Amino acid sequence: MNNRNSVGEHIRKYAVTYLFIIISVFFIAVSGVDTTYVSSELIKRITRNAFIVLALIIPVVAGMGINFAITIGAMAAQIGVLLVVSWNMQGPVSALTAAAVALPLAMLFGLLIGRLLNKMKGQETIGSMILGFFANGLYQLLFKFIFGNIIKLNKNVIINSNNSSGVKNTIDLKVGYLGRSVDDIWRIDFIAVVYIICAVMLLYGVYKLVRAFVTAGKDEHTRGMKPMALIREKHLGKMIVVIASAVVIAALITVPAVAHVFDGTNNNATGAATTVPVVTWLLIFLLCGFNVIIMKTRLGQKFRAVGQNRVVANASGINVDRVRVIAIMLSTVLAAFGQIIFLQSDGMCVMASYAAHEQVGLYAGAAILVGGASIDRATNGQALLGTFLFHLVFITVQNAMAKLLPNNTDITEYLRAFLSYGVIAVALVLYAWKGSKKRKQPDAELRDATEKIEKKLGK
Amino acid sequence: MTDEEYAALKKEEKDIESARRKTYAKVKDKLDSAVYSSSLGFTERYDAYVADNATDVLGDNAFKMQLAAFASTALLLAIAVVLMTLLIIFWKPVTKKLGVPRTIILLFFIYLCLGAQYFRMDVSMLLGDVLMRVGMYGILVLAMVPGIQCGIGLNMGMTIGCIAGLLAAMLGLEWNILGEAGLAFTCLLAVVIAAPLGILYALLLNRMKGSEMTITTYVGYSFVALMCIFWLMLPFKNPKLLNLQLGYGLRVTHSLLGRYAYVLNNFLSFTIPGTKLFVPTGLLLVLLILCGVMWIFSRSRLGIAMNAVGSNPRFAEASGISVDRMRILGTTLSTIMAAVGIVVYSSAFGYAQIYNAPRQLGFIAASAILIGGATVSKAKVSHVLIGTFLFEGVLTLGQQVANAAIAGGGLSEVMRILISNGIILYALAQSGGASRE
Repeated sequence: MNNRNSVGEHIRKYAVTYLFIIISVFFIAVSGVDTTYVSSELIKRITRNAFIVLALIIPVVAGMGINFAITIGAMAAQIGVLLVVSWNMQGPVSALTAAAVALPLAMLFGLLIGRLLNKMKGQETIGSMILGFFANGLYQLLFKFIFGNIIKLNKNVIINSNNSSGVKNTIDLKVGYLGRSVDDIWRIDFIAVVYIICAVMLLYGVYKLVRAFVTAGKDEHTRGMKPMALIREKHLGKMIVVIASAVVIAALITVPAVAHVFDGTNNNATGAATTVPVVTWLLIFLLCGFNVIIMKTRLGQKFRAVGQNRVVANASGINVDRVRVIAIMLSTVLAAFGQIIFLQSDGMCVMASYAAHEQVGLYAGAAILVGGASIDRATNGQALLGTFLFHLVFITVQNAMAKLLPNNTDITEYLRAFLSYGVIAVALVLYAWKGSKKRKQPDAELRDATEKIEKKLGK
Repeated sequence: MTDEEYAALKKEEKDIESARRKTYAKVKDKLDSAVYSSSLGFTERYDAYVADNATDVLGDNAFKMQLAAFASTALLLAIAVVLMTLLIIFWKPVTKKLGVPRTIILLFFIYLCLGAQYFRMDVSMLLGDVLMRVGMYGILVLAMVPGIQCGIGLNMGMTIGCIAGLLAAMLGLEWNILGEAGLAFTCLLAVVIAAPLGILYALLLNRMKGSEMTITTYVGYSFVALMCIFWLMLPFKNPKLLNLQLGYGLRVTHSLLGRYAYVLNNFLSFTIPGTKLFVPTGLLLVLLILCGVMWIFSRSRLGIAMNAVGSNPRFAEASGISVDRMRILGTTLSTIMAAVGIVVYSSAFGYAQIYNAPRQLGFIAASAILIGGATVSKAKVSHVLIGTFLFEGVLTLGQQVANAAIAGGGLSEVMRILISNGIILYALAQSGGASRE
């Protein structure tokens, strides 16, 4: 494969990602936004949304496409949040309790979603989306007519009026109660976090290199190799890049002028340092780790096998339907936890009882696709990159539009909606395009499949 | 006492008696009307007595009257129970013929009619509303037919056609073309705008066979969102259309009153005597004519070829039909019909709504035709008529009955969400699954 071809392939694969990079650069250029605002807002939004976006990965790997039914996980979370607020619980315990309430609900919902999606294989994306709409009807039934009437709740979450019933439209998750209960456990300055990340990167890189050199002595093949040759042999070039970038970033951030851009002290409104909620970030990293580790277990192998080819997986003795149900259950539960993190997070602390879940699937789906994921592939990196880029555009579009079309407030919302829907549409179109091209050579696919089966049987 | 005296006294007594009777007769009506208004029926009268704790006035007949008053409720209940029993007995043959969801929705519709009767609503007036909404939505639902027949499945992207129609409507309003001519012009313009859009859209769909429904949904959504921006930007000049605060950009809702609102509704319309059932003849006539054209088309050589592509593309290809061309034809027809449909809809509704208003129309049309008995690969004109009537009937009656049953409202919206999405899920579950393995 020549180089030009692979570059073209790469660009085609990540077309949406590059498009978003261009758009965000354009918006920043137009509006000249102050970086302090953008960086602090971006940190907040990534903290808030990354968990839910990461919850989408497992179903993608299991070949079920973008699971828009994570809205149902969000609904489970909101039931938990509602109960916690109704019980007037305080602090981190309240978040844990909400999660504990949401967990069994999300598992049950996930089971049902999985069962239904098994009946519409190949149509999971649209099926899960419409299932989300359908569940919204049941959710409204629950919140408007059952809570407060049949299931009694505390007065602070119920409408006190004769001619209407049900849960209030907005529920205040007061700070100190559920509001910021996870975020406020431990906060440190953003700059410190940068140093810590640099240190981790540096240590990791050095560890890998040192281990390679130590083990090199024991191996016949690599004994006595020159360092450069060894690095090339063991593909350690990446580690060099990691170490170098860690050093460069750390060096840059020590320059006060650079640090001031990000640390929030330039912010005219508050002047307070930008801080990072450590526990929330740890949860996000834990989920990344979970996504990596689960793929190495037997279950993860099954996810992958089912995702690649259901027929082959079935032939090799995997219970395809069961694996798919497990994937959706995991995704739904994770989405429920993600929604609790979202609702309690900094800058939210309010739950729109009837609307908070509606856009969850749309925004999370768009974000992961922006990161370069597709209907059949997704990684942690893509999810995080996507969250970053998607929200960068979301933040900058507001200022850019304010500059371009003053006193028109609607256009920002329209543009955001267009970007979200458009990204999903483009990603789906590109994927289907590729699929229809592939389908024109059914022989090759069939040959691949039979080869795989033969290999499995041979083992 | 002499006889004369006695006679005089007797006569006097008679006079007094007759006078008393006369006054009583006069006062009786007034007394009665104080207890109940004379326009009310028997059961209402009884209710009024009960409400005033005056059942003992009715004397020995109280129990009989009570029975009589409950008779209508009991009758409704009896009909409901009998229907349910019949359905359970004949479950297999009925569901085989109608399909499970259609059976349930039909039963639900009848129950809603009974419910409306129970709440003493005027069912004939409600049925008039249903007819009107059938006329409004009918063409939009009909637009689903060519899409399904040519094999792209449920064309959720028919919103593209709707937007073409709305654009035509906006242009018509901009140039102030009023009355019947305005409606005709707008429909024509809608066709002209929708045709090229439909062809482009069809070309896109031809490159991605197999996953159309997901793509049409999102392409439709993104097109609506894109047009939201365009509605703000397009250089319309007529001040009647513009957002007054901004000075540019179209408003969300445009009244068609005094332009071409209700033109079709009122054409040859009449009220069935003795009831309040208003028949919007013109509206229904247009729908029936279009359905007829569609029916004749699907019997023609071209229509049969298109249908073959939808039901079995490989067979169609083998017998020399150009699959791609048929899909372009069907998709474009669907888009054009959606464009005309939205113009008729707006005219019958009296308002044209732009921006996000057309977003869910694809879902509404899809639910209606699925309720009518269509599947994602087979649809007939009869499915359109049955489906639209049942779907709109359930929604219209449901709204009234739900509001009467539970204060605060919102239940009808929940019902709409559940029915509309439930039927699409059912259709997807029927179509997918093991067959795709």
